Amino acid sequence: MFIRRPEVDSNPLPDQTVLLFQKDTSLAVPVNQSGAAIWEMCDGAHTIDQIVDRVADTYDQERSRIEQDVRTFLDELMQLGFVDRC
Amino acid sequence: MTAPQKIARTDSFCVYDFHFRVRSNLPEAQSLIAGLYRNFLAPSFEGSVAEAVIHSESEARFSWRFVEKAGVTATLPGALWNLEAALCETIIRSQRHSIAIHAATIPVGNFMALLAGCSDAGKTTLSLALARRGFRVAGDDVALVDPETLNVFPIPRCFHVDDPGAILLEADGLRLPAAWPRFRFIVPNDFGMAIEPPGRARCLIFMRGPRAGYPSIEPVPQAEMTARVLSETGQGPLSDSETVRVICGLAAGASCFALTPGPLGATADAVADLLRKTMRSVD
Repeated sequence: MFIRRPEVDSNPLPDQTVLLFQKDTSLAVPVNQSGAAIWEMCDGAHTIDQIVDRVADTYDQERSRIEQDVRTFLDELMQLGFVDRC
Repeated sequence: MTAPQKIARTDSFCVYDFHFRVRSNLPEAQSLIAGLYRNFLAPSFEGSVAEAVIHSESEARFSWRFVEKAGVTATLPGALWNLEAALCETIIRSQRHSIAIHAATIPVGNFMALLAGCSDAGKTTLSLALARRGFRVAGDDVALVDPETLNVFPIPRCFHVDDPGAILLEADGLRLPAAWPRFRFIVPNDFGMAIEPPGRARCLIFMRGPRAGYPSIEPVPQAEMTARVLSETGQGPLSDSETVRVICGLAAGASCFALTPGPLGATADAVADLLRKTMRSVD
């Protein structure tokens, strides 16, 4: 499971994208709609399987492909200091 | 060596609450600076004002100074450009409230379009090509954004047009002012700009390179546009988080596009079409 770091501002935009801003590093990262949905589930309560299930409900792609994309995205978020594993 | 002439006082100006006056012993320099800030005349202000000086010391030595900055150049255009850059920088630093974005401002109907991009993206040339197509260009370089209203306030600047740019613009049909070859100092007022009421940005265009064989304009997500505009936003009076929120607010109220420029004429035609469509959709 992953949890959002408290020093990250989440700025939702009307087109469902989100601009994440890491206050400690002043790093701004734009996140698309599916990334925004994953970000919302980084609450320390959802497992990767649950996140993948939720994304798979929305996107018509093979589950294995979605899982790979979700894991890659979460790894990037962790490397950039936006989330922690818990 | 020409004997220095007496420095004459020119008009006073107030650009977004920053007061200054310009003195020069060169009537032409006086006239050019006055033309740039013509819409910001503040002749009756009696408080303390900063003083910008541009002075001909000889035919090949021109000095300028403003606040803590000063320099000497061999040409009058060089001195004019340096003084104007110092004025712009000081106006930006004087802002206690607004943040500065590196973008051209094009009023379209009741809204503003912002054309952002890095320094060599071609904002100036495209802005002038849009002026040739009937658009007003309030500024080609820096826009201030009020964090509360999100209204955009363009800072007038001289257009930095080099010889290749001038050739492209003239080939596109723009008639440069008669004084351009001598002073290299052309400003929005040379193209009949009036003072613009502040307005919200409803169209954000980010110029990205490299130039292609033909122009393309693609919608981009608002978060991506926010990140791109942030990369062209200066350190202002707000905290980083507040600045991010302001730029998010700007993008949230706008249609956002990425422009890959092609040949100047085709690029300007495409952007002009986009701006007219946006104006109709906003109206």
